[in-house]
Amino acid sequence: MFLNPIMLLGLSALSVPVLIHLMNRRKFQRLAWAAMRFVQLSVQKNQRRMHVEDLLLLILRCLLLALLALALARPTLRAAAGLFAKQRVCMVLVVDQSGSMQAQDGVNSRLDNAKKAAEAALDALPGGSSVALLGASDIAQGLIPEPTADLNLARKSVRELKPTDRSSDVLAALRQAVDILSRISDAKCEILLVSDGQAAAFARLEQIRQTLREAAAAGVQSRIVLVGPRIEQNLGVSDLRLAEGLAPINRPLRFEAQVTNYGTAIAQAIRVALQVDQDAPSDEAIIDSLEPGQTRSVSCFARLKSADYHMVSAAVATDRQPLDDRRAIVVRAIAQLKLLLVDGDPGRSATDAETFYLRQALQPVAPAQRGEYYLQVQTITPAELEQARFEEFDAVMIANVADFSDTSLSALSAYVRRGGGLAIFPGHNTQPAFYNSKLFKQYGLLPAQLGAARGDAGQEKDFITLRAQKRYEHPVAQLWNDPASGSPASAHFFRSYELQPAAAQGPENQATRVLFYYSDGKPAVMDKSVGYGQVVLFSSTASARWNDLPLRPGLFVPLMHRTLGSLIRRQDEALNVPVGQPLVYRAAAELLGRDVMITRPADRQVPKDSRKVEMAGSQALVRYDNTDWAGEYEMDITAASPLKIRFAAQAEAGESSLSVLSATQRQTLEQVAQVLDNSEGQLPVAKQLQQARVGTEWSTPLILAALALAITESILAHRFSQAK
Amino acid sequence: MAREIHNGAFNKTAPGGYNMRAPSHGTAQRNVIMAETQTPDLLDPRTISQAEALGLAARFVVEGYMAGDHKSPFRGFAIEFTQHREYVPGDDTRHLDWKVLGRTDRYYLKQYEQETNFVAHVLLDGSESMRYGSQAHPRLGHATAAAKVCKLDYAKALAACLCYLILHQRDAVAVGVFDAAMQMYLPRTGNPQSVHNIMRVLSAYDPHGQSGIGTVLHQMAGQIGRKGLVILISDLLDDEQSVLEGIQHLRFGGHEVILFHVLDPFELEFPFDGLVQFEGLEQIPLVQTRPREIRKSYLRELEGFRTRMREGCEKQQCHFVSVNTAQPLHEVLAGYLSFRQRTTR
Repeated sequence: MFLNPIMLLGLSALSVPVLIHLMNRRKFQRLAWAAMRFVQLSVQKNQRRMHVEDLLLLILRCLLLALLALALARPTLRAAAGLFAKQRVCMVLVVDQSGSMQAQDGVNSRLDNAKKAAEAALDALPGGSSVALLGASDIAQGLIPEPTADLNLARKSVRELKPTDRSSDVLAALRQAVDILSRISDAKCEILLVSDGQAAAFARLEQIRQTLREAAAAGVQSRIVLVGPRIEQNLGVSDLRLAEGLAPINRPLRFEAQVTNYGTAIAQAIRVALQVDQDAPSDEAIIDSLEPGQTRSVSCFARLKSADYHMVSAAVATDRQPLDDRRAIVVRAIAQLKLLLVDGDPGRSATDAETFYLRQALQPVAPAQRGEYYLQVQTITPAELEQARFEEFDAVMIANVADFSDTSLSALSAYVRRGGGLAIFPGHNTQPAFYNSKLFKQYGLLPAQLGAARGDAGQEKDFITLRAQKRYEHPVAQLWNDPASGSPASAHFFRSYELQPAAAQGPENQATRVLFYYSDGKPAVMDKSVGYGQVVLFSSTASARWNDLPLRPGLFVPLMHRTLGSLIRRQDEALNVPVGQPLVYRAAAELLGRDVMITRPADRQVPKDSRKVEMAGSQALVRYDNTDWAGEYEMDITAASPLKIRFAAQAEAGESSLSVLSATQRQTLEQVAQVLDNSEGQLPVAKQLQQARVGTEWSTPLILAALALAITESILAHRFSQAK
Repeated sequence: MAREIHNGAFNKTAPGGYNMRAPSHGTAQRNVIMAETQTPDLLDPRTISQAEALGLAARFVVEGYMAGDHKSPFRGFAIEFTQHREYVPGDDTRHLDWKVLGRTDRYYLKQYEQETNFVAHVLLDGSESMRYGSQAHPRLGHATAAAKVCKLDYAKALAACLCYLILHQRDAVAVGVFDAAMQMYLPRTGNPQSVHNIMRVLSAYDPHGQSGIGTVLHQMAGQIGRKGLVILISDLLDDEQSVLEGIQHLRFGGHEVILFHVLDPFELEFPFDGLVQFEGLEQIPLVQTRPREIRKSYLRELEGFRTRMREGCEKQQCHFVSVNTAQPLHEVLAGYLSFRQRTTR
């Protein structure tokens, strides 16, 4: 195959030496000569040799010209394509934009190198080619979603690529690339993925292989360029959370910052600084040393000054991977929380009341100070339910209530769906049949049906405990991931209802989670998101009648606070989203149609964005999708009383991982794609691509051969023309 | 020796070099000046002056017919005593040494060395090949200085100088120009004036035919009666064997043979380049070749030829003189004559 077949016409130059030879025969000097016999003798003796030499020189010169013509025609090794094979390439350039691409060696980040490789790839494209550009993170971002022949646009788009803090998964982008190429028929199709080869990006390796294999079957050539720099050390804040259930103002709040050593060496004297908004760091913790791969949580305290949104961030010293050096969450501080307790069994004395322990736990202060406490609790009986105005309360807790009237039930359901919190404790009054038919089936409030009650509350020998877990998944239970917080398994449950989650895996059930299990594997506490609200269902009482949980304040108080927090924070859950998830703010109906200015993380130097408050279903919403970066986002809703909501996006901790594709994984990839490892920055990517595209070019060796031939020719010609 | 008087005559030169045209003493000089006005001047004054001093003597005994004819216009040109010999009956009594007889009563004859003149036959090759001269194609020449004249012109001048020289030492000269056969022959003359005639005839000669040196030499060997000097001036581009046989024939007749082998510098060095078509001067077919590539071979052939000729000549005790026409004539002649003087003594 020739890249420049027109140059083959140069082969006609082969006739030139012959012509020159013939023409030279006509160009001679005449010389009248006396000593002819010596000339004749010499000619006779040398005739044969001179002929041979002439022929040899002629052949050499022809060969020289042929080689030059061939060299100029730029022959390549891949001979199958023929002389006029289609040269145009339609390339989908997939550039990894995930957070790991921010890793840098102090000068260039991986993304910079990826851009260079991508530009080199663009430069190496043959004329008439077209390019589509996709940014790959956990989603495929169509930067140039349809192939364009405007390579300058492509170059510009590549140069303007910005790193995101999203996690890596190249599969989506590869699928989209294959999809784009499936519509191309008149060019050679190629996929070029430029990535750092982080193992996480290729986690779905089998699917990637399948996708690329199918593409290859359709004639799509896939290539993967791995770029560096490889970094050895990375220390990151892998998690930051509010350890308290609630965030009241002017109280020291404990935040838990989790620091992970992703590197290969022990990190020592790690300073973790906690900062609220733009203030000076409020607290600092030092981790003496952290083994490679190890994660450690530290507690830092901060006070929130006003009942507002606050950004709390934890930071470690900047390193080569800036993605995870700081992690921020937004916390809405509350000045006061109003809680409604519905007591199904008030008892004869206050201590007998079903909600006695609950109230004590939620307001753990002396009765005189209860008025100033941020948690304001109101207790009513089931009979007062119908008059209750749920909207005034942040959460409702129902303990040992037998049943509800339809009015109160529908009001309760509406309250929850609009964003209210509801916690339900069963008891001896509870009518499981009513709960199951109304609350579970009709209103869909309960995460599970109440089954048969087990155990005997009258004795203390036969009990069941909560299952001790190494790692609790639910936010409420996560406190006990730290052994210093004690173990939930210490509480004894003598009697409890069996919670029976809906068997079918419907969309409803996805909102259902189990907070704790009993040691026999049955769910003990479950919750469910209903509408914008949250419901927590316990399987035993809030009082000490069926268990001794309330008698263990070390366990009960934080559990209740965290439960309440989870009910409240359901509203605020949307304030902290993983990078890439939309920011959603449920606005009041009167704000509909208002303009919203969105300020994105300041350090990214990106302009502000704007949205409008729009109607989604029955709710006025502001929805903002463009959360590519970790950090603080701010929504300013222009209204008579301006409203400012702050959000924070957090990068996925896995993105900090330094692990790259293993040799086996790479082999797997190499079955379906050509892998060019440029992580040391040593390969001339353009040349490699060109070589890969057209095979090895033979011009240089041909030119060298021609040169050698030219030298030989000169030497021989000189030698031959020497007097003999 | 007998030539000293000429030395004196020609050594009287004007300051700053020779000026043959200035009035001077001596008949020879005057004659030259006279000749110049009438005939083409083949005589190079410098050559003449140097050569005359050296003279040209016959190496072998030659039969001079003028012995005793004229008495000593030159001092020392006389009968010189060499030895006594006992008388034997039959000897001419004129040569008896009476003084010895008177003193010793023995009969002794006085013997004298007789000086005689010789006839030099100057044979000039006038074949067409002699017409070659490198001045004709200046473009071809490079490394080598081209000769100013063609071989024939050079040979003519050489012949004229030799004739002048011989005539002026009172020897006789006969001049022949030949190609395949004798084309022109000036019979023997001893008159120094006839040098003009010789020059005129030589100048007028225009070469055309092929050469046949051997034939001519045989012919000459048959014709020349008295032992004499044969001077052959040629490029010898002919059949080697016949040339050598001709020389042998002459030597057999008792003649001394001097061979001036005249070659052009281009013929000696073959300094051509590029593609050249050689066109033979004597109806030899064309040859087209790149001379540079056959130069060594050519030179080998030429050298072989010259060596063979030289060796052939030496075998027959005749002088072989290589003449390059780029060399000034006076150098060639003076060089040879001084060599000859040394070897003759």
